[in-house]
Amino acid sequence: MQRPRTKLDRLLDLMASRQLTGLIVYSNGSCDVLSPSYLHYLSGVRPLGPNSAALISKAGAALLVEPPWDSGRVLAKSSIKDVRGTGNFVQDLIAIMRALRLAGPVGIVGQRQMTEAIYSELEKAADLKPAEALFDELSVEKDDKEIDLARKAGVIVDAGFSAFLEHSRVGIRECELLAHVEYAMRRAGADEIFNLMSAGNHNLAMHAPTDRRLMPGDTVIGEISAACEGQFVQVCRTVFLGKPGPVIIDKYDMLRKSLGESLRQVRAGAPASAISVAMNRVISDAGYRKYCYPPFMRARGHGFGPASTLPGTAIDEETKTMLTRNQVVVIHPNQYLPETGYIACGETFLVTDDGFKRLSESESKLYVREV
Amino acid sequence: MLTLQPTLKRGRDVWDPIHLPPQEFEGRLQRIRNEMRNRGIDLLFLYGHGMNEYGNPSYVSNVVNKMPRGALVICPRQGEPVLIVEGFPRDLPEAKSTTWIGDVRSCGDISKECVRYLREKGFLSSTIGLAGINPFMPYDQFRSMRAALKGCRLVDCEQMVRDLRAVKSERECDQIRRASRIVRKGLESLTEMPLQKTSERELEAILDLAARLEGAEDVRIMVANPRQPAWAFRPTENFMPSEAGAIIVSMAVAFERYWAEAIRTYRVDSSSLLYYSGNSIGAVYEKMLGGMRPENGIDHFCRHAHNEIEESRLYSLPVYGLGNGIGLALQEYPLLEGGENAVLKKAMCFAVRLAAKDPEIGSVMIGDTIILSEGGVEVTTR
Repeated sequence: MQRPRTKLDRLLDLMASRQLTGLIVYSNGSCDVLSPSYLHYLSGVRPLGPNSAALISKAGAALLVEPPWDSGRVLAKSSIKDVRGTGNFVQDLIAIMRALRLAGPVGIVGQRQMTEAIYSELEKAADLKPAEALFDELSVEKDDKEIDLARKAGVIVDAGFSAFLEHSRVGIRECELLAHVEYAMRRAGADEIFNLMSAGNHNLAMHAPTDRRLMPGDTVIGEISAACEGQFVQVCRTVFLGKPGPVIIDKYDMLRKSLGESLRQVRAGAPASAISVAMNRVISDAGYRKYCYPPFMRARGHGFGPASTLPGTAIDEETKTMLTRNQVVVIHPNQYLPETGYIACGETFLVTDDGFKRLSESESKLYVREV
Repeated sequence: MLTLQPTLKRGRDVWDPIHLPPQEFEGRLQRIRNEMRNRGIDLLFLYGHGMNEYGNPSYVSNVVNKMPRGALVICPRQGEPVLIVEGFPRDLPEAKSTTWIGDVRSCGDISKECVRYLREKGFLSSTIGLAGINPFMPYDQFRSMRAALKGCRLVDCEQMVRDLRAVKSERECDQIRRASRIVRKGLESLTEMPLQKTSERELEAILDLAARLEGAEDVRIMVANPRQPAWAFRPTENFMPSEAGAIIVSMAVAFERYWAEAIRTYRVDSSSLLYYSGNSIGAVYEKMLGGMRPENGIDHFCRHAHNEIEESRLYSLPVYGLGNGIGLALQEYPLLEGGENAVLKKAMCFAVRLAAKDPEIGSVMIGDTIILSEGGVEVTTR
């Protein structure tokens, strides 16, 4: 019986197709929601840092970990079984490169996290070629395990939003509100959390929480994101404290309509830009064309995957890629409007052959808390 | 202690200008300028990157990186400093609300924005001091900046800035005391929690919530199972401490930029956690702290500590060292290790730690944040 093909097998094929003799996948231990954690995606282990790298060639694969005391944890979790701890990262990295015969053109991934001291030494040892595109190709279509993790992350963001709604009350400080949200998400199993919010009668943008206490008439907006073993999912929600006026009800309906129209475009093989075009059309038709671009919004959506936005940090009208089956995308007509301030609306979807599946259950609507 | 880095600094982000008024930062800037004058430096770059290494720019600006991005303060010897932060334009109002610096700029690539500023101000043939650029700046930005600064004389100022940051002002010590209080309360609260069916991750969630309700900006928890022969600190898992029989917890909290850290060992007793200090580690630890006196060399202190450990016949575990400076970073200079040339000074702050084998639970570890005073150490986390 044939062994199922692993990520590493597929990666070796992609390397061969680009005439790369080897690949170095680096991490400085940071986890950036806007930039993929390639090493985490490949090895299945979240790096602790400050330096870790996987080295891959036909001759084998090794994972070098600094500090050395973390190598036991990494070995227990990693899909790469040759794990070596180091207290001298650059020297040991180059020694492994030689042992694995990484000489000619060597692909390098995560190099923008490298300092000059590391990159300049690698450059002396091999002919380095940027190879992050390999991972875009490798990771765009989620496998069954990744889809399960995304669903689990969807349950976690729903738990986070339930807490956001429950604790959005007059008198609570922003930082206390997010503390409760995060607690709910951790208890639901979040490995990593990316939550931003704002509260006020005219929000300009989301931000880290402050000491501001929520007041009657506040619009409370939240971007609630969780990762489960590296797979991120997000919901964007708006809660009004008190009786909302007709203006915010009307504007929020417009955002919901724009979300609905953009979802009609979603299916495998459709252009990703159609999401943005459809969304902007609804908002522009209502007279807000000038507000459809930064700084009044950031992005109409983005891909979500291995602790990052891979394979695309922003979906806009110029995006060239096509949507792919089993791709995970966030779609959010988050928008500043002059009458309401910034309001948040959106969620994460799994792209299917004939449409999409929602990855969270809470509804994208204007929520109201009586005061 | 090294920890996982979060993807976002999610806690309370405020500037308290009553406790840290602009005069505090102006005083720091003045000390920097005195050093610049002594070294003939026209401009100083204070660079930091990510959520662990924001200390250099934060030292004079109070701004903190909330994502894995760069921040740079350019201090001219005369005139106003400028703060450049990487991020979206929408983040600019937030940065401006937490700093006394008037000229705050947002950009996508700090090296390009920096060069634009130098050109704008006519500084492209200056003597420039660098702090944080070599150790933290991504290589592509480093190269782009270095190429643009070809006409400048570059001076390494790492040690100069480390030395300035290492000795804290009274206000900085108070920030560390406030962070320490949150750590102390958190670690104490573990002894009051019912433990049955509570996993490590649930314990972390409870500690995190309590710390954030107290105003923590960042909370980092690491744990270890001392009964395992090759134990090491790691992020929490779904393991049950009640089944492991013992647990070592390292808790670090940042409060308004300043960190405190402590480590405690707990033994499981029926349905709760009890502090565990073993037979002799506590006494050795106290003697070690007793050796931390201003004007002692760090190398001398380390030899003193190792002598105490040897004389007590404690089988110490050196993996995590004796400690390091703490303040605007969880790990900063000076390090408490043999060969370190620095001298201990009043108002230096350290995270200190000691680990040893233990016949009952395998290993035991203790750690605290301390402030050096003329009379010795003030342990702020107990």
